[in-house]
Amino acid sequence: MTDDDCANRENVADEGWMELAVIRLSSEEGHDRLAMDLVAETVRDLLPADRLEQLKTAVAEGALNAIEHGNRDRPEWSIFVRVYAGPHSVVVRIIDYGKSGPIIRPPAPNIDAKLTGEQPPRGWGLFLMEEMVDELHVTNGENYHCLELVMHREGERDEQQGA
Amino acid sequence: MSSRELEASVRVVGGVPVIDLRGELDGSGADLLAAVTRTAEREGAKLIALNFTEVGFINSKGIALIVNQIMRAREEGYELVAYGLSNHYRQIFTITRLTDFIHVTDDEENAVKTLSLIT
Repeated sequence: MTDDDCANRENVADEGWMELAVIRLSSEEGHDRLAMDLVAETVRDLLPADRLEQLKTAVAEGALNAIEHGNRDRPEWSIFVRVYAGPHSVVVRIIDYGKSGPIIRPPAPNIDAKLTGEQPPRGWGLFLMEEMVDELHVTNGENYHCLELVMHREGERDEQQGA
Repeated sequence: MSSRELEASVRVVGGVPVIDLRGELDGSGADLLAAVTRTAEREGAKLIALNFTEVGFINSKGIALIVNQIMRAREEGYELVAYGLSNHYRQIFTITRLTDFIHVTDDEENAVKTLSLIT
C-alpha cells in the first residue's frame, strides 16, 4: 500500500515533510495498543504531553477499527501505520484492507440514546478520533480504508485558533 | 504483544463500596467488571465508587462498559462516582458526557464524601 491510497489532504511528498516510520502489524488483539505505543515513541518530541495523549487515543481507536472491521480480525492481513512530520503538522495514516466495505460514519454517539437503548453502548470510535485530533480524513478505496489523523504542531494550532 | 488485562476488586470505605480497577479497560474486562459490580451491590449502598488510579488505558470499548455500568446503576437505584482519572481521561469523560451521569472527584476521600451529598 502506498501514500496514493490516502486522501493526501496533507501532501506529505512536499518539501519539508519527513516519513518517520512505516509500521506493519498483523491484525491481532493488542496490536491497537502496540500501534499506539510505537507512534507515541516516534513523535514524542514533536507534540506536548497532552496533545500526545490525544494522538495516542486516536491511533489506538484507528488501529482497533482497522483490525476489527477493515481486516476482520484476520491475523494474516496486516494494518499499515505511516507517520510523517511536516513543518506544521504530524500526520498518522492507518490503512487496512477494507473488508468491511466503506467506512460510513454512524450517527453521532449520544449517551442519552445509549442509556435508553436507542443506540448500542459501543460506537464511540470515530467520534473519539474526531475529538482527539485536529483533522480526521477518511478514504474509502475499493480494497482499503485509510484513516488520516492530523495534529497541528505548537504555534500552528494557536495561529489557526486565533484566526 | 502483552496488554495488561483488567483486574478488579472490591473494598468498602465509609459505607461506600469501592471497585479498584487495575490495568486496561477495554471490552475484555466486561465479565469481570459485571462480577465485581454484583459483589459491590450486595452492600446495598446508594453510591459505588470506581477507582481509576491504576488504569492506564481506556478505549471506546471501555467507554461502552462504563455506559453499561451507568445503565446498571440506574436499574438498581444507586449512583456512581469515579476518581483517579488522569486529565486526559477526564477530558474523554467530559466529551462523551459520561460526567453527566457519573460524579467525578480527584481522590477517594472526596469520592466517599459524595455519599453525603446524595442522601
